[in-house]
Amino acid sequence: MTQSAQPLVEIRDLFTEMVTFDGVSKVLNGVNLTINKGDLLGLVGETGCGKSVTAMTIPRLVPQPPARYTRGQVLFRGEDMLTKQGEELRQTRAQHIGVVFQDPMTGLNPVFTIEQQMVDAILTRQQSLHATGFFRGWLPSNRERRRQARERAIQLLRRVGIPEPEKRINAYPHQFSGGMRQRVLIAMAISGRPDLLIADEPTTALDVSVQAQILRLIAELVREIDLTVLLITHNIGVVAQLCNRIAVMYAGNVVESGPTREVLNAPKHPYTQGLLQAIPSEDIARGELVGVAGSVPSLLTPPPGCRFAPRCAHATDRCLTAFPRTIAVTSQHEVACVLHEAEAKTA
Amino acid sequence: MTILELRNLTKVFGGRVRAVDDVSLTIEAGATFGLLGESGSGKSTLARLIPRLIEPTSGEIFFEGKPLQNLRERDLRPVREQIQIVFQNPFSSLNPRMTVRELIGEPLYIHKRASGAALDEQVREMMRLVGLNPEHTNRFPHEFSGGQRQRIGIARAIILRPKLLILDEPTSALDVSVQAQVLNLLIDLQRTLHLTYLLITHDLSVVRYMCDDVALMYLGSIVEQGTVQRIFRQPAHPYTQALLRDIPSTDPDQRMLESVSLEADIVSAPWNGQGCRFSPRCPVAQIGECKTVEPALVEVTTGQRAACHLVKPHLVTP
Repeated sequence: MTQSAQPLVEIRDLFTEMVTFDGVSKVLNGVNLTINKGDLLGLVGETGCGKSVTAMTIPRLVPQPPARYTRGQVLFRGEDMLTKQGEELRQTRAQHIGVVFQDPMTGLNPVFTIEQQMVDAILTRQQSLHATGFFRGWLPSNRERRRQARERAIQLLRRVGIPEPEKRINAYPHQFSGGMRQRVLIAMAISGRPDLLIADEPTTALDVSVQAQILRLIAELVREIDLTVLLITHNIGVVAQLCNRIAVMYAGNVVESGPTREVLNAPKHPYTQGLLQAIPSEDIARGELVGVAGSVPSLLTPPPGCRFAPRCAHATDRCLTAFPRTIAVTSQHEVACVLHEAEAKTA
Repeated sequence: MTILELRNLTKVFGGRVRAVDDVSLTIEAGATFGLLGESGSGKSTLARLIPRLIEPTSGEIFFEGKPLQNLRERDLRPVREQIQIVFQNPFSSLNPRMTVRELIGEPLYIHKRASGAALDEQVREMMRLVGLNPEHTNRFPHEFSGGQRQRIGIARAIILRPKLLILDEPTSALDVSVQAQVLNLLIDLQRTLHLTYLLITHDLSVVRYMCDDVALMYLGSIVEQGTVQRIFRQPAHPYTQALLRDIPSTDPDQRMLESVSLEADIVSAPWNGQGCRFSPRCPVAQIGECKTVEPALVEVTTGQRAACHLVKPHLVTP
């Protein structure tokens, strides 16, 4: 980490369990992740690796139960989110965090117009602020506040590239395409001028050309407003094109993290290497694609040592029993694998 | 030898939605033909028209030279044994109340090919072939991972030993590491069972990896068609060019986001039914011909055809 970088989020040694009918699933197994101010961090991994649980722990949107935090800290702006409750939690969310969910089809309520939903979102945020006296002594009439919120909504819609926002704001979600709905959700997420935008697979449900438009929009917003983004995706291409940092998760651990270019050009963890090899690219002949053999372990009874060891070609006896520590191979590039112990930088 | 030929195939839903609009294509036996398109382009409708799971509004379908469009349901059955489909979603396309044995063996039972111990033996053989443990015949779909479920879907489709397999987004619900396994399984099966594939997908990298020929659909019609080599190296149609630019490369040094690409989408820039259907979104469309005359699919060079007024055959380097 460079000296000037200021951490906005620091997740330290986070252990999370989920209580299910089949038993206790050890979902997060000591996650360490730092997001600096101004970062565009891509969190990648396959289905069920814990990327959404990790990210949604920051605004505490993971329902408890079934989730149970057994150890660790989630520092956001220096405060531990795991100890916050009730009104204090609402405040932090309203003032500092915006979330865009994966599916633009279900993110909006089909029976309300875009205007109703956006105005409500904007007013709810304001009310959270009023409650603590952020705007105490200044309470315009209800009608005036709704009018102002509508103005703001139109302004936001214009910013995210909805044509004719004055007219389109009266439409219902089904009158919008998937890409436009995702734009509306981004507009709602940034309506409170958050410090952190969490985007959970924002383009997975979209076509490539629309995906490119949305990614361009996110890149523009980051430049324009002072935004830090945590992008959750399973598409490494999206991270390569958009993010300055990447963190790769596997079965509840961050196995590798660092500057995107460094990690993708010289991946250190066998899982990251396997993941990159599994993507069909121009120079791979038919039948020569190498996947990652085997499948993801059950988190009800995870492997005791390195969770990737059962699928790893380089695994030794030690990997099967001892959990690997995180090693810094360069100043910012970290990997959790015993193969790179020799390269460890002495602090 | 041509195994499948479609001539001017059209499907109109509700009298006005032209989901498949005048599509003609031929697939050679043993080849893998890729059908690319965004959601709503009509590719899945086209897949279902081929074995007449839905009835075409007009046009002709020839399977091994035999016309299918006028066959009675009874005569269609033996043809359907030859044309099987693997569906997209391995979570919803398998009946959760059926065991793997019932799921994979069902086609044999329906087409009265085998029963009892013979059926069991064939099911176990299929499971071995697609890389499933044959001891798991009595398990239910929920006990398998997504990749394994898609293997069940494949086993079910190939147990009748079809000649043509229609793969409708076979890996889009899977993670990349599992996708690689399933794609390689499909390649192996094609070699051992001499299958012809019609692979429907929106993923250009899957087409590049798997296919010999490719057709791009836009709003129900083919806008460009040709060999994979040709089209990925030198796309002629502005739509193909834009799609190829918009695949996010895993190489951080290739800057995709800095290039200008397509505006709007199929819904927000609707086609008014006149001229080129891509013109509302086309970055190079011009007033005149593009807005008034629908371009025909014409050969631009050997092994490549495109439907665009602006593509001048003599300007394309061979």
